[in-house]
Amino acid sequence: MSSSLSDPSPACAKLFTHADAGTAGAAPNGRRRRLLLGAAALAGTIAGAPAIAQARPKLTIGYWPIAGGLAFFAAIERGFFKDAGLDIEAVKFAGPNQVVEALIAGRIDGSANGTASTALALGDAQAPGLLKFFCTNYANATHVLDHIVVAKDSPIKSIKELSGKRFACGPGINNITLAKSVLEGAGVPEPKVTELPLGQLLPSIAAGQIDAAYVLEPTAVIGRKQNISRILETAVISKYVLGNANTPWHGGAASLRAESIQKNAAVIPKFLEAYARGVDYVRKSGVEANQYLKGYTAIEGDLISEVPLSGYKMYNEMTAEDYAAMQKLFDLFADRKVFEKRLMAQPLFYKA
Amino acid sequence: MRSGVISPRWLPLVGPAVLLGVWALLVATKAVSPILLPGPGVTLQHLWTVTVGGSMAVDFGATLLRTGQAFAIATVIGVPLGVALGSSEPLYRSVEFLIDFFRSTPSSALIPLFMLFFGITDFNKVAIAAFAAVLVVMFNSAYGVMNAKRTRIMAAHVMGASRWQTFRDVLLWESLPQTFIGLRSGISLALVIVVVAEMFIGSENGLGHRIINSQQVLNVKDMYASILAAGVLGYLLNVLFLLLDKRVVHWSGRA
Repeated sequence: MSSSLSDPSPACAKLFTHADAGTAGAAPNGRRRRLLLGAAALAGTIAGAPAIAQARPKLTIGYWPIAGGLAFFAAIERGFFKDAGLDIEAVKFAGPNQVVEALIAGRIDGSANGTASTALALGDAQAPGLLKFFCTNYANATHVLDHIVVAKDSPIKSIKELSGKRFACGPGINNITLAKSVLEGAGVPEPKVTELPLGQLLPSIAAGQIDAAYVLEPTAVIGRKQNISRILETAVISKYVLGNANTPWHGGAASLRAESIQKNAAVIPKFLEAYARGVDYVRKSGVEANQYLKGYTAIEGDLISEVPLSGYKMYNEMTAEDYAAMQKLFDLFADRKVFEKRLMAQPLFYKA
Repeated sequence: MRSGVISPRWLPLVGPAVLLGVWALLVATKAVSPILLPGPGVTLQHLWTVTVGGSMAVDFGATLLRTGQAFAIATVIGVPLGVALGSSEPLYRSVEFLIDFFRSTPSSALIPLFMLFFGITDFNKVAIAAFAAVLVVMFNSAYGVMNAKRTRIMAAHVMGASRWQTFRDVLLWESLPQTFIGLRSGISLALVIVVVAEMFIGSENGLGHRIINSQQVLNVKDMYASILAAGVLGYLLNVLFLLLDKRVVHWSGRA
């Protein structure tokens, strides 16, 4: 979902087009860490001393550089994994599909939050038993992410008025499915939706080429700051697709490969605990935590303080309502033939 | 090639056979996960199914139509302009920077600019592909004229031909072989840009649209079948140009 829908922050992908598109690269600290290790090994060799390295267990985690991954970025930067005695290598990918492909190929042990839950579920459907979700990132009326935006001076006052208007969303079947479902849920009959590059949604509104668009943050923040657009309605997926503005849209998830869980059974509880510390830190720190988006995403400058935070749910915090909300999302994709068959949400979750 | 072990008529099949063999080997040895790269047999079977079923025809046709439109625009603008520029070297030199500058600029990076001019209609995909192709066509046509054999031009002068007659009866014909090279390159480039535009601008149909959607839902069979279909389309367009080249500029390389 380069633009995906299912992911709680695809809209900002436009900001990341310059970042390692199509290829994976080590996160900012990964290279430095490897260099330090390499230097230490070299020093040991030169000294002629047998280097008995007490290697720390290492896990490689793939991420898509969007705001939804904040809990993971914070856990690394605040040293929570280090405290747990773990060496975590963060590897950046150009999109959630590439993360899933790397999971299938066994090149990474897991994925950070921000990776589209529908893409991960599809990966598990292709390779049954491939992975387990251990944390979701969600959006709703409190943790805002998804909006319908219109031009700043547009006379449109409600989604219902979008009938017959020119409406756009990011490219790809995921965006189209969600955008159409939102409009249908709001009572717009037979909606027509135009796909546009994510980076063109705001310019198209500014140029008057479209009347409204389905966007994810930080697009709405950028549109407001640049005096181009205003939010017509927010939390539209929760409201019009899931049925209630407070229902969480679990659009992204962090996961671990089942094989890696088995192979690293002794360290997985420590990893999950450290990850949960990252989640807890984000919850308690609010937007201050956004400082750790820098270096991992293209969000920086004064935008950092304005990007809304995702909600997070660790595997042991998921409720029956949460599972039901995720199932509803999966069922929508099955009904619209995006999924070839019905996929079940709850069995995908890690159990301690 | 009488001495060869393979009859010349089968030689064009060697490349595809090697490709399919290496592909099958990669999958059979599990060097690549079959979930991420299905075997050639499964992929070709799927390609056949969606072709017969009709769904591929819609996307194939949409891409072919856009490519054809882009190429037609590129030809109508590029050939006359290239010939005109090539007939006056000072004129060509004065715009050479622009041609080479834009020829080296990835057209896909100019998508926002094209959307500004051509709006969000389907035509912007055609326009950006035409832009990429027109530069290649123009460049080759211009060089075709500039590299015309001096002896022929001089012979025409000696026989008293005017500048216009020299241009019409010598330069224009001399430029055709190089122009055809430009047209062949141009149509391939137009196809590539159309597919890229369908993938990244967003579209309701077309091979690029099909590839990106299949990728998003991990339908790798359909993704590789669509990639094969795009390759087949490119190959057929090239074959068409080879045939045209042989008929139209039959003297090419022999004089």
